[in-house]
Amino acid sequence: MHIPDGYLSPQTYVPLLGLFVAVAAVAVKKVKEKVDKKLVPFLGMAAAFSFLIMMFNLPIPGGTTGHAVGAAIIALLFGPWVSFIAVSVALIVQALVFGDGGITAIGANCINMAFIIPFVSWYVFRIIANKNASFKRMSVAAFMAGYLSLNAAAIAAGIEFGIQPLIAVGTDGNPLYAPYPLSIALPAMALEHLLVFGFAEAIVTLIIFRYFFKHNKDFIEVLK
Amino acid sequence: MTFFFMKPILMKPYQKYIIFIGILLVLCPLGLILPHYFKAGDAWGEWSVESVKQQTGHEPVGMKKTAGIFSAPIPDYSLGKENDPLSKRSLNYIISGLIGTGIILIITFGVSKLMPLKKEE
Repeated sequence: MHIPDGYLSPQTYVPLLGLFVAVAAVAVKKVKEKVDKKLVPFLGMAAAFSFLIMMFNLPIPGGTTGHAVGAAIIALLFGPWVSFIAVSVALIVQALVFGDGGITAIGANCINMAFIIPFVSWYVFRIIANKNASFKRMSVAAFMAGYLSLNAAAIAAGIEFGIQPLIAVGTDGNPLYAPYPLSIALPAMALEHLLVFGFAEAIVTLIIFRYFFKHNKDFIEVLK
Repeated sequence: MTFFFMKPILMKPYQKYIIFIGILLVLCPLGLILPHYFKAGDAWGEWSVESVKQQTGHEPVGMKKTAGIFSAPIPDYSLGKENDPLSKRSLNYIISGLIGTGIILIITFGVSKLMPLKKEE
């Protein structure tokens, strides 16, 4: 889901970079107000966790690869704004140091994976369960939060890929950037995540949620 | 050797998380080995320009121009060569993970120094 340089036209990546900067400004303000200092090491740990979990590429035999992001569980534990900052740090390091995701696409990738995943995860959990819900119901909520949020991000990426042939075409009529239209890009991104990679984020979210629920229940932001 | 920024993470409640991160680091070559074993290729939409040309029979002009705009120091988490044996690539993958984790920890502590957060109660 790390969009490389060259896939998005400037008409797409410039507004998304702008949106990312605006969201980041809000995130810094929110986190300053709410988060206390003892959480700082966890911010680093969360970013490192997200970075590493994204290195676990899962194969579709004979097909493509994909991975979990970890942004869903970070959102449930520390809140969506902390997750946004932690996962953004991981994504920016991936782009600048490892060429995973383009530098022009940093805005798009951070919006998809560091903004959409944490907020979808947070609200999906809140819709399914609250702090008085049974452990079983909370487990379902955590699983669905992971599953649906990764799929939402994949759909966003699919749309960003798919609109390129509509908005950026050369004088010869050929696409200038990502070549596949929405009718191909959207189902391709959605299906592989609905069928395979969404479950990776769901399982990671579920396992870590259950661990914290048993050992550090008071700590979980989404249950406050 | 303990740097100032390591002190808070070496305090007891965080030890478990350090071990957890360590386990992820040791296991991360699975992200290389499994796709290799199951013959899975690039992620969707993350192909090289050449591969796009092969797939569609056409090289997108803007893509060709923008794709090489930036060269990362450690492209694809690979410190060696593409045709190194899987064992060597796995070790390099762990080292890349360690470098990335280290950079991230330094950045987040730097950010926290710049951002005056609420004091611990």
